[in-house]
Amino acid sequence: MAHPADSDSAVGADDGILTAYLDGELAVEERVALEKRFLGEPALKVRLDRLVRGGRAFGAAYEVLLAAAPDDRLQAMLSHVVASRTRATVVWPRARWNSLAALAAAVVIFVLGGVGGHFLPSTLHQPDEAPGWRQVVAEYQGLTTAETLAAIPDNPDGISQELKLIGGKLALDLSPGKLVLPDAALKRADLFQFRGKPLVQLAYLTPESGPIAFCIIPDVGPDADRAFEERLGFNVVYWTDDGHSYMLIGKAPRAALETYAADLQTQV
Amino acid sequence: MAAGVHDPVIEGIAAELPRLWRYGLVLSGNRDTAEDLVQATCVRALERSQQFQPGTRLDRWLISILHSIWLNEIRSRKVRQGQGLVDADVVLVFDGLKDTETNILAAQVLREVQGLPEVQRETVYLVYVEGLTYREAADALAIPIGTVMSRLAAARAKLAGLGAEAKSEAAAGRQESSERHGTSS
Repeated sequence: MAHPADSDSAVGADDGILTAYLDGELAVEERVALEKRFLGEPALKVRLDRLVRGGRAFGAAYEVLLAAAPDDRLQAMLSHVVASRTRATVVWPRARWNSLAALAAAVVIFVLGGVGGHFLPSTLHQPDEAPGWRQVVAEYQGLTTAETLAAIPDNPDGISQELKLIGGKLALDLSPGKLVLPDAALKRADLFQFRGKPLVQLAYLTPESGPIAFCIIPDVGPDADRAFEERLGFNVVYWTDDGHSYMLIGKAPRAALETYAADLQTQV
Repeated sequence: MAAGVHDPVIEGIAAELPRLWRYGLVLSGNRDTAEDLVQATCVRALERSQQFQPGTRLDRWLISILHSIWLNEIRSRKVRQGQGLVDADVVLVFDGLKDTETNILAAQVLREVQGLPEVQRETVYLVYVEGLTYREAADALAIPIGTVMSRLAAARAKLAGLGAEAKSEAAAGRQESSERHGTSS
């Protein structure tokens, strides 16, 4: 049984639309319809009045917080980040972030976006490992979230152009039709360098499992069937085919990832 | 180079730092964490400066980056490490405000908002302080627009309840009765 104080704060069925009304977010017809309801439903107007009382002088109150911002330190930090980026080396001034900071710092020179022939930092390598590229990709995948990709507007024409250029680098036909995965949106195509080789990463966003990356790198080694591994908490399916190594990585269940991988191996 | 001399992100980001810090403080309740969030946001924004579309609002873009870092990296890490989400530093900031009547009122508002659940607090902040439209807030937070609406409604209902504590019992009782009529289905 609700205490009266609870019902005070409880959200009523019409509170959302009433709030939008107060905030000037309703379309004209919605606004007119609501105002008609006020005439016949006194309780609705009472509820509106209550929501009005939930307003505050928010802007003025938070204005004073800006004065507490550490302006000098923030500007110095920015200068450092920009300068570090320009030099393509990063010396992080603060240690509190530990591994996250180190990883983020390394990623500063792991430039994203477009087809720039970017550079993968050797600091991310597992020094002794032949599959170092899978480790690097896995570490980078750890920084990619669903929000990262959701923020990228769909741009089929742009991706198509990038794929053409990238495919040329790899001597592969990477037309978008060959890269279609069920229920996964291709959001981004990036070209990196790994130990002097072009490394392509195609980033997909799936509604169920978040980001999935399909990566390709030239490999003169023998062909190898699809294999599975877990790396840094990700599921990975990888194979080598006709001069290229491929990997598909994500949080998707193994079975789903293997199905995707089989599709891609057939299509590409 | 990905970040050239005329990169609009590099050119515009300096002016946004205090407000990003304030957003970080609202989210984390901690000055150091707020500073870390700004730093990580700068790093991420410069990495992805090619994704920023000139002509769109840089502050909105940066807000969405900071929110994403908070939600996916910092917040979860703090909770995982058992540090919880402490508002101690916010209280210190507020206490430093109590010089004038205006600041006392401001501190009261800040305390009330800081007492809201995090998702309501940040939505209130983005819409009522930063002036984002519902659409912009929905985009920045990666949530449906209806969720923005319901979070703001819940926040208003809660704040109205706080304000009503000072009212007479009779007035409060009348209000609750009306509310029940208005919300029963």
